[in-house]
Amino acid sequence: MKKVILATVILASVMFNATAQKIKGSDTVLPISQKEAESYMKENASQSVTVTGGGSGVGISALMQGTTDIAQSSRKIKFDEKQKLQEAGKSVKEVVIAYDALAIVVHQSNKVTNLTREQLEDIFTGKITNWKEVGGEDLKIVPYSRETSSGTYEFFKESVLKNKNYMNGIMSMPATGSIIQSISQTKGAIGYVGLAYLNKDVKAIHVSYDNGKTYTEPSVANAKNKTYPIVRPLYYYYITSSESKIKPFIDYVLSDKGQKIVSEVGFIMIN
Amino acid sequence: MMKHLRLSKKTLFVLCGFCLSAMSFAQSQEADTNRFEVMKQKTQALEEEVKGLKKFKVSGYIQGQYQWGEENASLKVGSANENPEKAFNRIGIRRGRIKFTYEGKIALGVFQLDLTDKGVGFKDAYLGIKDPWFNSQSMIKVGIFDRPFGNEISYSSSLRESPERSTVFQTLFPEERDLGIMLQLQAGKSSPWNILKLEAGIFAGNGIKMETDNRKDFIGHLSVNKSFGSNIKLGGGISYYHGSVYQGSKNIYTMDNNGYILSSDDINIGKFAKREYVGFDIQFSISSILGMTQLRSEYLFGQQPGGKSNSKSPNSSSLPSSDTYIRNFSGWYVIFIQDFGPLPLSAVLKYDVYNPNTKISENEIGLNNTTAGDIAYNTLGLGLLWRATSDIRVQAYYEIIKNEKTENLAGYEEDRKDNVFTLRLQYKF
Repeated sequence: MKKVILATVILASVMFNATAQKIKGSDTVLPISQKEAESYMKENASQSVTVTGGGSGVGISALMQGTTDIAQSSRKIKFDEKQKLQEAGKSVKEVVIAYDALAIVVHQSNKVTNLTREQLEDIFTGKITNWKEVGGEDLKIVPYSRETSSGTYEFFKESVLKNKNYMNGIMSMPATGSIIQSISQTKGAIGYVGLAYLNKDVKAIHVSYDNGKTYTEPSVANAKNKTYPIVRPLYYYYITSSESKIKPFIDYVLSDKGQKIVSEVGFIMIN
Repeated sequence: MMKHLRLSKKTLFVLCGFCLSAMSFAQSQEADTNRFEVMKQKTQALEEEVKGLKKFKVSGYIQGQYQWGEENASLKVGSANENPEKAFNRIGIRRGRIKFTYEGKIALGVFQLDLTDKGVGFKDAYLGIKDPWFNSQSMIKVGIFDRPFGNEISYSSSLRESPERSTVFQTLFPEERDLGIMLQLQAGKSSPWNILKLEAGIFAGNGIKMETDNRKDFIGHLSVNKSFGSNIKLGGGISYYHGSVYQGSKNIYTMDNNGYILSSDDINIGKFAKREYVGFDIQFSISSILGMTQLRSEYLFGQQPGGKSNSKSPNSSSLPSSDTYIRNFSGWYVIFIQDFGPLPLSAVLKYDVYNPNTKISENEIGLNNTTAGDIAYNTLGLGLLWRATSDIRVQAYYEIIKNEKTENLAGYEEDRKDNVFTLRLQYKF
């Protein structure tokens, strides 16, 4: 009987100490959050962290509705999103957890290796439509983009297209994995993915932001030494009032151990 | 031979066993596949149902409030002061809104009711037809909906930081809505032109009441809204109203120097007096360590045909039979809202002015046919807003109302005692 009471007390204390945290949003940040959550839960058995994707906009929207504790985002929160949170009596805090380089990818068989920012702009806005215009073979270019709710979509538009509109009818993909898959299966395809998603199925383009003087390969090293130009911060957003609940996990992500995971997953550490 | 036979039997037994297990494995795999297919079909059916349900939305808010007013005050809840010698107080439901929206791929329908202790009224009843071709935010609206003039009209009462709209809007745009047809032009969200919005329409000009004459009014609003990074937003717009008001009697009063001159002729009956407004609006918001800081302002001027004792716009189910007083008016407001850092608290400071007759002031009022309808008012509002949860908010607001003083009009020799305190609790769903 004593044993039963003791077991019940232990179980109850474990249950009360256990805290479940939800992280939702950017597909780019997803691999970081997943690995961090795994490692964090290994070290803290009473903690539970669930991670889901869907896009930065989806994560921030979930934060507004109170269906997630942390919104992971590959773009900065918009003013209108901030205002909606404020109207609901919520103030939001921002934490930069890592940096990411955006890689431009093409089919493995594509002969083109170097592209300038201006050429990329013309490709994704529909001015350049054939690979022969940029030194490739006579083949129609098939550009792929992420969906509008994606932070990567917005960052690419801002950094590479200089806020010009994507071409009409561009193929929108719901996730980075779909872009990799589509490009690996389509000869004339071109798209963009986070550095961590690069694999042997696609070919990464060397990019120039100085009108073709220097072309740089997307890599962690080049992103760190700032020679690769398409680099952005990755964020966690949370409601100020829930800070005590989620701070241990965020502190873990920002710790040396957490940042080592960031590096292992293929992103750039904040320090 | 026997051994061989025995061996064959063993082999046969093993083979049979293998076949049976292979068959059962295949059967279980097939069953798994079937289960998966059934699950997939069920999920798809559920998704379809959810998609259908998402088209229909019910939302609303309830504002219950306590109001205290000085003896001459006009409160928004309860009846008038039963003892004009003393201050009075009232409780009531200021707004009880329920909104039904059904939004399909290219069309939407909206009904909004107002249920309060004063009865049931309707607010919105319109259909919208969206742009089916260019993925823009353009739309045609038909029915009863907010007039596209300025910023404060369409700024929801559930979000507004002051309990009521400015005096100039309450006077010129009673009920905020009108019956009409409107075109809204706005590029899609991903377009750089999305910052611009044009709303223009033809309206009955009679508020939410049924139309009573052949004339239609034009209302248009061109606005721009742009965010700068994630911390600053700036917006502004220009509005124009061109319409007319039915003249119900032969007596038309127009201003000349510092008084009204009367045109009294039977041919005036049934003619229309010009109703024309121009408006400018600006909105600025910045998010910082202090929290959200907002500044909004509007300025309106123009010509308003009204009655003898007030300059209110038409909002009646029948044609007027009273004399028409044509005045040049001006009105403006400025509102400043400051959060207390990350706290869900905001301080509110608002100042609004409405001058129904810009041609005369103070002691000129009360002479030459001028009346209380020509008195200008300014209101200083001080408030505190607490967003207790994402759907509950509490508002405390004190209004110091000053009127123009004139020795030539009884009751207006001094500032009237009409200050108002409002304590409001709102639940939004």
